[in-house]
Amino acid sequence: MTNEPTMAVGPPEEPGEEFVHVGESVARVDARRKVTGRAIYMEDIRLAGMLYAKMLRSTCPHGRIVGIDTSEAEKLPGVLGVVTGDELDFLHGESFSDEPYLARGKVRYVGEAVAGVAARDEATAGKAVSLIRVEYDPLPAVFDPLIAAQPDAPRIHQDLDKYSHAPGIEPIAGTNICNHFKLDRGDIEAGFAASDHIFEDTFTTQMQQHCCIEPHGAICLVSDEDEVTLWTNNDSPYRCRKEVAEALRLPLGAVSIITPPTIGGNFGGKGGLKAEACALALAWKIRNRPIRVIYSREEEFISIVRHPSVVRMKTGVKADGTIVARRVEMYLDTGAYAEKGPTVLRFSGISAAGPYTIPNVKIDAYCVYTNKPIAGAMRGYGGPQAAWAYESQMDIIAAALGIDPVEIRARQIYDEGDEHITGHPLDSEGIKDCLEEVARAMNWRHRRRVKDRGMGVACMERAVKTPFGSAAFIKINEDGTVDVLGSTTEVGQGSETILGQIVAEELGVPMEAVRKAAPNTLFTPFDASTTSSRSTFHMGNAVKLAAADAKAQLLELAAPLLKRRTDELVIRDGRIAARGEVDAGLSIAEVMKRHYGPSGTVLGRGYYIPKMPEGPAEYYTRAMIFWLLGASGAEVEVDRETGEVKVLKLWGAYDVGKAINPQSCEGQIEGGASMGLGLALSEELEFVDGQVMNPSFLSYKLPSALDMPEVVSILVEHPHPQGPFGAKGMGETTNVAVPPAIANAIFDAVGVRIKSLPITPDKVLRELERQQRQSARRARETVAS
Amino acid sequence: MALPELKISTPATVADACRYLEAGAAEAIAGGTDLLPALKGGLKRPDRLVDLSGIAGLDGLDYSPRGGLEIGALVTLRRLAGDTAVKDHYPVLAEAALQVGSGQLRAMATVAGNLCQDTCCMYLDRPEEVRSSLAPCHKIGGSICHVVPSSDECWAPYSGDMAPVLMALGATVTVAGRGGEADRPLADIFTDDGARPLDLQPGQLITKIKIPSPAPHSGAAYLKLRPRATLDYAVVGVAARVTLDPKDMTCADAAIILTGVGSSPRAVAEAMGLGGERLTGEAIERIAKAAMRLSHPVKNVVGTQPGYRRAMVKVQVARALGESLKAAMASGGGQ
Repeated sequence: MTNEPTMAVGPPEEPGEEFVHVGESVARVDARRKVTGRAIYMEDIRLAGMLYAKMLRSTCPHGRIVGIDTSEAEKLPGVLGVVTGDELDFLHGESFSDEPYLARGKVRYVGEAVAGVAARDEATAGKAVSLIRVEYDPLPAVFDPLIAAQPDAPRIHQDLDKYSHAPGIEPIAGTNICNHFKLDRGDIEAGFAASDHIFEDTFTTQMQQHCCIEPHGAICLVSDEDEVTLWTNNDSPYRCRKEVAEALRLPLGAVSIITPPTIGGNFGGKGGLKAEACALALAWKIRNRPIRVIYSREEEFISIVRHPSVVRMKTGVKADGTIVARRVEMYLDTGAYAEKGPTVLRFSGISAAGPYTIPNVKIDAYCVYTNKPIAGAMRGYGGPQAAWAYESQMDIIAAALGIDPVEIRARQIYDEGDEHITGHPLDSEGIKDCLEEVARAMNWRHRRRVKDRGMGVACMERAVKTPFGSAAFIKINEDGTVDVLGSTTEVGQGSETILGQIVAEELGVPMEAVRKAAPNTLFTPFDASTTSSRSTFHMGNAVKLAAADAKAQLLELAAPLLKRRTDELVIRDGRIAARGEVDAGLSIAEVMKRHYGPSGTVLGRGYYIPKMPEGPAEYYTRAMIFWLLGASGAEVEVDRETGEVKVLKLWGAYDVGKAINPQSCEGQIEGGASMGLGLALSEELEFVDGQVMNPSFLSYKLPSALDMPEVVSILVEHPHPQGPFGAKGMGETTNVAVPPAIANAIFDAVGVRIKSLPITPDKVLRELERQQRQSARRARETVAS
Repeated sequence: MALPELKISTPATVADACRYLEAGAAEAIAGGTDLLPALKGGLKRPDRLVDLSGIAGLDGLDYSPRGGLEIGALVTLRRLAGDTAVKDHYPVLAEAALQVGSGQLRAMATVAGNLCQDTCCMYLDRPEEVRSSLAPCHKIGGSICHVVPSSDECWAPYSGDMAPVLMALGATVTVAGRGGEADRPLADIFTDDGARPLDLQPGQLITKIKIPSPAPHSGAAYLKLRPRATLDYAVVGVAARVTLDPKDMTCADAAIILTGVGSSPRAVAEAMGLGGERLTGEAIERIAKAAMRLSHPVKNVVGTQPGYRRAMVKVQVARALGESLKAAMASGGGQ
């Protein structure tokens, strides 16, 4: 894969704004560690007396547990203990508490953990698991979210009405629907009445898995005094601490979360309690022994997935393509437990009408239980399902009305100051530029027709979770080096590098002087989560504030030594001096030494939480501190005989506010392109009777490096007034619009419209054949008449 | 997933290897790329592996214009694909070898091992814990096929890439065993039984693959349809060879072999009847349709439907024949 140079687009920078580190493609600070195999992952952690655990998982999609016989397993030499769900009267779940640590009373999907074994080694644990006998009394299982949403469908959670949940989440009593999201704006019926054309389509998406290189893993130690220490590659230590403490009914201080220095991939999949719940279940029973659970790849494939979806979209437009009314009915298949499903639904619902100014909108979205693996957060957080519908239908409308796909979008896409359908004004949003830049890079308006080749575009929006806080400490060491203490986890997204750049810039020290500590809830301060593309913005602000605080203290210390006022002093490359006299100044270490002798240190602190117009919210506000916005383009070639789609090139333009590290942003665009390509064409977990048929990298079709087309990355920079140096998040934008861009390109190439993902050769061929039959019929009719 | 505990023997001669293999629950291992996942997944439960890597004389790769090509059992796919004589005289072999697995796998996997690649089905290629919730199927000692429950045989597809190409080139294999060595046409070692796809007795071992010198005015192609550009087994694989009669450019001899659509590589008999005929579009269409009739894919691989795979046999056969014809016309008589 080659790359054209990244283009940066946006308003001209203000004069005098010169950065040393920000805006530079600084090499990742963890690159050398990773390439030389020295990075420490969960798998590398070994503790004295540690036991290895394996889980027995359900083979029944829905059934009552009649009995569990663990006697043979317990007798096996080397086994330290066996635990079953009956021994753990706890439920967990971030926003909807419905999941037991181990199945209690009944199982709800194939793969649900039913019992756990802790043993002196993995082989013994594995053997013991195979000796456990479970008897199930099968119940009717339901796998289709549309069927599951019916009032007479088999009930998956009898206790739905009793579960505790976050505010704003609305389960429908007596059904399998754990959240119903509603949005009503304008007058939908009047809107349809005023429309010249009505379009109605149903779009579906499949089950995708995150495919992190590193699987879920945790080590749990519980003392006799109910003190819980959890080493885990969970993406969000403070959220994890809260979930564990709440479920076990412990004070927060009784739970410590320790994050390994490196996590091998997240994409939303490492939230919630997965391996953590398994390790905890055993450690709660077997006290004072660290117990380790690392998922196998097969377990990983059913650990957490992207929601399959069904979206019915009815849109009324004027003859010129202006959307007057849009009715959306969305079903997200959340699997056996809610996990983050209810909030994924909310975010998908908010964005279900697309990034367009539409006066009349009505949205009903349902998060539906089925007897399948649990669906939760995955890059885009409900965005890809929504965008698949609204951006596919946009081209259906454009084709029917004979309007250019870029033009129909450009005319009604959100602009600065427009009001989002949630009722809040949008500012510093560069989506229009994103669309324009993609079209320009594709040479859209002057493209040449090549047989069986086509081009397509698609736009996207996605909300950032708001309002949530991030805090950081800066600790300046005796030698002037800087430790950054924050609970953002480095999951591969590059936060360690980005946060280092922000601190180095604000403090005036070289990059090499800055280190980011791995999170540990005992000493790294609060952070809501490493999710939602929020870290650069929120934690970036927190570390910037902490660095500014430390800097102010350093300048206070330096002023008397340099016989200057603090406002005359600057810090450059680790030296404090009067502006323009860097050589005459003192190093940070020297300044601290002159004041404190060998005990020199300075401590900075920063806390950022967005101030929203409606004030602090109990959970989510309606307004967002920023929106993730962008556009994708695709060029494809279709083989009319085999139905194969070859993606020749992908374009992505995203509003990043300000690129702290342009290469890192490009990495996000390329990674998102690959994830979007997989969702578009090949990835899908297949099931027979609730059993996954392809839990391996051979049978699950993750795109390979050879399947990746050239990716053109375009960074649009509309500085965000509250962002650190104007930056905002972008990681969860980059995959969202790729599938509809590809589908639109396929339509452009051969005139067939695929409405269900993935777009397999089989589906393309069937549509091509249907098209052929239709044109043959038309030809016959013409002859006959 | 860890390997189960196993004994390993490292014989120095073919005869010793055969003796170990004869003892019953033993599996030969060369590159191990097909065997190790099966061992980890509990699909095969030998108590002994017989490591062939220490046997002298099995790594030859020799070409002579008169004798053709001899491929020793330990020659890797990577070596085959990079060999100058192979690329010069049997370019289709090098191309097909490059379509097997991935770079890392080809560095380990052997050509002979690829011929012996086990049949595989989506019901089987899963962890034992999940698989064990269903009754054992024909392939693992049971008496049901989960794909075709009404059938009393195993429908797992054979998806090896090298066998169809080697068959199209007229390869024979040398099989060693208790009674010494014997050459057999490659096609003869396949049973078309998904449960037990190879007609090799315990104690028998492929030691060598022999391919005759290419006939003048011949061309061949291997087309592998698969979801991704690497790793995947063929959804449909088609090997074709066409040899032309230089007098009138009619077809002197042709072969079409399918893989991935049955429990063995399948030769399309109609292709052999092309002798003396001109390879017109109509003739190609006829052969392609015959090939389609010969293929019986069932729903045993993820991602594609049987109907699609069957339809693709026709498309790919036509394309492979077309490409072979083009190559044959471009090739002179002096190959």
